[in-house]
Amino acid sequence: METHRTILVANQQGVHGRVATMLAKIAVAYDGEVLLQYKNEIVSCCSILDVLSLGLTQGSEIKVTAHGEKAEETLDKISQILTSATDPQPDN
Amino acid sequence: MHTQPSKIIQGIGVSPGIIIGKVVVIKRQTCRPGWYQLPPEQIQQEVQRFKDAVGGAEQELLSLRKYFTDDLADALSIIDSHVLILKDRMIVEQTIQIIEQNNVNAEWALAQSLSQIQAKFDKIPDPYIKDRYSDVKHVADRIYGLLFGQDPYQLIQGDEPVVVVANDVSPEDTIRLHKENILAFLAEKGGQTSHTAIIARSLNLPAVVGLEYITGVLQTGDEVILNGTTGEVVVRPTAEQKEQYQEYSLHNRVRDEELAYYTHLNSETIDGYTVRLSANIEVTEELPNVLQNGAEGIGLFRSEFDYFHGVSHPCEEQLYATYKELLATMAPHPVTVRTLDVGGDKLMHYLSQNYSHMDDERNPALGLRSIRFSLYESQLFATQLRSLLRASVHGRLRILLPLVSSLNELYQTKAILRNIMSDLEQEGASFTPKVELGIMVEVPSAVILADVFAKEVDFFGIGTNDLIQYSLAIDRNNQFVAHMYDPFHPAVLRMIKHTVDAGHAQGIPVSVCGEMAGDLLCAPVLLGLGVDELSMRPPVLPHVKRLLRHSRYDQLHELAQDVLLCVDGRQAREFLASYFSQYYPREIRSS
Repeated sequence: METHRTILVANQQGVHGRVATMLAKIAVAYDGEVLLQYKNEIVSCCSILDVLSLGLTQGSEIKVTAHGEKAEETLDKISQILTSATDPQPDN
Repeated sequence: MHTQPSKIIQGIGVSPGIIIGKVVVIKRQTCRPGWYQLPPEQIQQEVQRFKDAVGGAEQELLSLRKYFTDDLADALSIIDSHVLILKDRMIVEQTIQIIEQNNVNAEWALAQSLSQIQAKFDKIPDPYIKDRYSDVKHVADRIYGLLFGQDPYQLIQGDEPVVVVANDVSPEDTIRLHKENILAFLAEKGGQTSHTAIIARSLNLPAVVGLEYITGVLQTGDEVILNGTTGEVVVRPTAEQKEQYQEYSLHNRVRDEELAYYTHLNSETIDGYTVRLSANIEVTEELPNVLQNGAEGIGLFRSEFDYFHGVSHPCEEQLYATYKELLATMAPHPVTVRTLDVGGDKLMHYLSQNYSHMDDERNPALGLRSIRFSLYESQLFATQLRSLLRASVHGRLRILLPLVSSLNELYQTKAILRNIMSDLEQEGASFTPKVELGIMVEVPSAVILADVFAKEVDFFGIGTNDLIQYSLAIDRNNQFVAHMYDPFHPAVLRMIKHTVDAGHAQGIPVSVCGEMAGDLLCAPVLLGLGVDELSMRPPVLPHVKRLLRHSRYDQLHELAQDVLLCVDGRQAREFLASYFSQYYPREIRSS
């Protein structure tokens, strides 16, 4: 199954090292595929470098798409990270 | 024999210890990749060689990860991001594709991938995210090291322990170095509050950073003497200098043993006059050192670290955790937290508003900074004050406002505090309602209005560094006028006296937290002027306490009156030197 969501980046610092790390970790652990679209660029969320290079700052509007099993659940996790104004603590 | 002469270079001492040893210079540019063509039948072998290097680098990172306990979340997150970068398709798949399509060696292919990544990062407008390219470089350096079959740090293989000299030492390098036969390290980049510095201190690895061009000045095999406390580095020392340092080092050991005796005695004079000796710190990692040196409180906590460091931006919870740790560790002693003391140019990446134009400020020292900046970015300020208030129940908190120059700034801050308190009350959160609030007296207008301010605050903290700079109109970093920066300038001493007298007239304590407080010639004069608290770098505390315990207050008071009459710093210093050689010869000589 495929599902998508439009999300406004809320992190005050934008999608920086720690946030990108958490996003990529989720995408890598996911069996399906997660894509981020910002303006005209679409990248795989598995690539931390691609995610960083979008240069997402607070207020950027992005479209997140997930293909595969448990797509909704994965989108929930990702949007939770992107919509919290402060850094969530990583779960180690 | 070296033909090049000995010289002394001043860096930033970030992790204490005096070391004499030979250096190994690590130059990253030795890893610059060449290009060569491969016959088609060797391509798969080359791809495998690259994959092995990536796999090896990953194993290294994973094994370093074990060095950090879970409470070092920032450090763990850095390593995790390096693992992800290492395995990123833009590194791995891209490089393999270049090898296969062009029949070239892995080093060159990796360099091509990197320049593509760099081109992408160059286009990122946000400076903070753009700066993550430095992580990509750190990761690529590890792959190169393994491809070349040599670890740059494997140069360090002799039996003799050495001092490592490098351009930039990453936190991971620091841990790695710690496992090798290393005495200390010197680096061109870095500062007191970098992650690398913190890790070096926690591993007891002496280090001096901020040494520009040091990898060019030194060659492998050269000898150095370094002092991780003062930041002094003697390059290619003469036999005489080595002897001096060995003697100094021995002398220091003897003195340290003696000083240890003072750390847990009361800070009082022979005739029973008590003052508070407290510590200036920047990070909570310094707390063990603070307690070890017998500080009776934190006289100045510079709160900027949380704003500059970590991949994380300081949310209320992060700040709260820092302040809670400070207060709980130091209780029942007071902890003085100075609110954010910077300009917006330093915090660009947090703020919706762009302050990059502040680089062009003609007079940054007179610009939008410290309390002015906090009141301008009131949301940021409110978050800091809110976390301070919430932490206030864990110990004795004193809030110190920097660069206050008018009453209005104080009133505005009080209004913000009142709002936060009523919010907290509504939320049912606990806090100390009568939290102590003070101002830094560091602008001449605050000195002149000290009697008025004294009625409005609970304490004064005199910041002598800025007070001297602002009253004498001297920029200490300007080499042409730096010599005129003079703590014993009679105008400076009178301003301190005026502030102390005004504070005491209203019954509030006055502390000094600039460099003067920890200077063995200045400290007695400050005490003689009636200062109630001296706050200094932790290692200096026992020295000042020893001096204090050998002094009589009436004599210090008289001494201060005499120094007030000196016409300039030179006269004051000469007078003090002769006075002390008469009364406290040991205290001054061994400083």
